[in-house]
Amino acid sequence: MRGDVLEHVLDRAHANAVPLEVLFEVTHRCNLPCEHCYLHDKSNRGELTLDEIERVFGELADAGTLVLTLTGGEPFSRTDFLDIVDLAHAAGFALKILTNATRITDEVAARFADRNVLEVSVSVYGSGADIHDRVTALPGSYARTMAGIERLRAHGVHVVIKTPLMTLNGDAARSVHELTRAHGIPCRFDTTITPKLDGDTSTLGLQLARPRLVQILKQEPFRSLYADVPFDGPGPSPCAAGRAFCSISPTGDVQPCIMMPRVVGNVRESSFDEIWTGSALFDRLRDLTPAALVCTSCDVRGACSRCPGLTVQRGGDIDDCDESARVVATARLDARTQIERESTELRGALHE
Amino acid sequence: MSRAGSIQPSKLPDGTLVRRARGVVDRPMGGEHVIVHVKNRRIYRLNGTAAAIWSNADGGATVAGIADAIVARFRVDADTARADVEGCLTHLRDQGLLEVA
Repeated sequence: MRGDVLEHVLDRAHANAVPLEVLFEVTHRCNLPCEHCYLHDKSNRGELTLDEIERVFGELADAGTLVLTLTGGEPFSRTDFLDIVDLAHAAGFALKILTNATRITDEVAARFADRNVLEVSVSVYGSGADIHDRVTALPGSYARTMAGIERLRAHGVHVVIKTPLMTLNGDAARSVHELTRAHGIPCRFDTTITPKLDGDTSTLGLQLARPRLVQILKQEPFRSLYADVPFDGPGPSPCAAGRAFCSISPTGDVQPCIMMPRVVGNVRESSFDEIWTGSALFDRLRDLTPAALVCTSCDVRGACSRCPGLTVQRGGDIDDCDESARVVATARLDARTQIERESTELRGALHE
Repeated sequence: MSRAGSIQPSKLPDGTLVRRARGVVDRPMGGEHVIVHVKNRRIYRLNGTAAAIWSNADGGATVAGIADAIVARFRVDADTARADVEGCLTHLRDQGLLEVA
């Protein structure tokens, strides 16, 4: 996507309060019991029906939604998921799909290629089955996921690999980066593990502690990725949640984002437009300015990628500090400082 | 006669039918039009006249018909409208956003 045009479009969406991108969790069911998953209830209770989904898609299109992300759980846990994709295509969305790719057949890949699928994001936790299957807790899942990715690419579908890094796979970043680079697949890393949405914090034990995180960030690919990042910018800006983006749960609950568990309405009870234009929380998010965030006086703000959803999950407000992002930002700066110091020491040793 | 090596802009006859290409999605937004070319993963924005031209390129429209719609909407003379429509449609076609027949 061209950055300048995209930036302009996002600005227009913010200014006009257009829900440019909406994420729809079609189900919370999943076939992989991943150790770090933030979902606590993986039942199919009360999922929206196809008829309800078709109506909601029409309302989203009328509201100006252009990009629709379909995710789960694992979306293919719904046997009618391809029907949902067809409905989304008929409503004229550019589609993003988040899946573990274990159920991608040639037929599915061909259908995606014909349905305006902008990208398919797949979580891969390592460059081999040993680490990946340890995280998913399901032997054989790595082979199935990689086969699904190959089928998608064979049909010309744009694939993005996402790799959350945690205690189980922290050292895998380099090999995943090399694997994806060899195949020409974009890869995005994330070093933040979130609590479960019911407040259960057991997953946080998988979060990389700062010393190990610093060691990881000092190595490739981050060493190169961060080499030219100044980390001295003005700090975080409010994200798109509630401004040009929102999420809809499998049962129709509308939230600013899946990471911000504050339900502002349900599409079974109100039209999407009524919810989007009538929410006091959305109004607050739209009025939020960078200056209103507590970040203005923070010493690591230039390296921080705060998430207001995580502040809310921890009992804070939308403009509070995201402590988990602060830990990562501090680790980034520590890594940068240590790399520079070690380079200086090496240069000094070479001159002696 | 064109000079050797120069590129002559292609002419779109009045009766040429134009339609949006497959794999292109769009939405009006705040007085503009946003278009995403899914296969190319490129995003475009159209403002003013270009957005109106795009909105009229609905598959059953001809170049002349779109020019007439622009005259009616923007109160410009027919020659100016025809030239603007041709230039815009040619650009959109070259970007893979429109098909002409």
